Amino acid sequence: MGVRMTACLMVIIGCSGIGFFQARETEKRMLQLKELNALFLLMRSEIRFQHAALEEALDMLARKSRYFKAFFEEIVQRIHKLEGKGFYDIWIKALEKHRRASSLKQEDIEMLDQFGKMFGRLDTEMQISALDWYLTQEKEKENELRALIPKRIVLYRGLGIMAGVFLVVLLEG
Amino acid sequence: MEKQEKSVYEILGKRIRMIVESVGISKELLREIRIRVGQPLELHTANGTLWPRKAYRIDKQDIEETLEYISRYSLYAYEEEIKQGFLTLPGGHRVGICGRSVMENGILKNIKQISALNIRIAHAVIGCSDELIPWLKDGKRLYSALFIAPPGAGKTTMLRDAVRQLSNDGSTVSIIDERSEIAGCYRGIPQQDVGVSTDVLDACPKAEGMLLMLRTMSPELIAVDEIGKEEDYKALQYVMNCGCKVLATVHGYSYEEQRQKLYMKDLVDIGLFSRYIVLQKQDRFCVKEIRDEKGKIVWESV
Repeated sequence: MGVRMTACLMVIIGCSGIGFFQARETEKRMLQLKELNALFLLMRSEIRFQHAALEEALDMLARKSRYFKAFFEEIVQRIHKLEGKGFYDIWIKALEKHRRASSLKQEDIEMLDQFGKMFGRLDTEMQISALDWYLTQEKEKENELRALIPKRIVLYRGLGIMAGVFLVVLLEG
Repeated sequence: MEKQEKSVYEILGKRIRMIVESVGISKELLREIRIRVGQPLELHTANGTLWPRKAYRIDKQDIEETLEYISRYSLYAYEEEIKQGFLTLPGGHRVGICGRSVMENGILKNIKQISALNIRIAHAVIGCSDELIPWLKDGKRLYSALFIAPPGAGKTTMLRDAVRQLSNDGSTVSIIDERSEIAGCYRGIPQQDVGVSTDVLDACPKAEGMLLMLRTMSPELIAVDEIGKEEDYKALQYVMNCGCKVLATVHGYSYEEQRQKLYMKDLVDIGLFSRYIVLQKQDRFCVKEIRDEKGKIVWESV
């Protein structure tokens, strides 16, 4: 009886854990998108007012970032070593390498990928336009998520617990 | 020296880099690398001009790749330099740019469709101004001097070394390095040895820079390269009247030629410069003659 109770408890805790993990990931995604927004705004002003080159601007972002430090550092290193025919080449390689370490979803990665295609070429105005494009897209996504995320967090947590209970009922039956 | 040349080679597109490296030319002899779309690669050395692998014609991709590397994928950050027709690399190497100009209201806004690059390699020659120093400093007294030389005769190299020696000797020096050629700054830090008591204002127009440094850094000596504009002469006159000494360079072949130039004539006539050092291209760092403030020859090459 004791063993059965422990097993049931383990199932409920396990399923709840998955639910809580999912909720945490969603929260982290929101935080990471917010950080990207702040970093890109910073980069915008570095390029606009300081005429900073990419290596310099991204190095500054790496120093300021909490979630994307390794990603930006990788790009800076690759730029420094001139590893890549163009900036997009470097951007996409770093993005592929570090995407798993982030909580960003495929749609967020696609947006960053699109940004990399536009960035690093032509004149300063083009860089600013690319950053503005990203910031606008990101803002829309953030607004959309802001309304959605609290509900999702509650949903994931609830679903985790419910799934655990359901599984126990099924196993007991 | 090795560090400098590595930085020059690494900015070349891969195919061009392979060709340059395959030549096996002594790095110290290399002066210029000229890259033109549709033409073979051209190397200018101390011993003459070479066209290695003449059959290989440079294409647009080679130039674009080289430009990406030169700007470290940030060509946009060099808009101002491109407008002036050149970029400066870490180490003070200068890349001349040629292509189709973009004009707006009669003003050059940009250069696009870049079709030719001329990479001029800076060589720091420590000690090349040894013999000049006694003419620039007498005890604690500094003299203002004008280096007169044709392109490629080493006036920037000579100026840099003179600054280094005077600075290490205790004089406070300010360099206004409009084209980043004297100190070769990278991210604001001099890559060339310009002495322990030297402050560098990088990428600032000379006239504005001279007045700014005079106000902010109280230099005993200001160094500027290639003066030519009206405002440069006015600023020179102002700082020298304030008691600051100046080391400056100017394009030219002789002292007499300078006396006929519109603005320079006035500076020469009022004797603002105590020394005129004329260099010649016959041999690198070869001083042809030194004149005093009255234009009298005080030293002459035999």
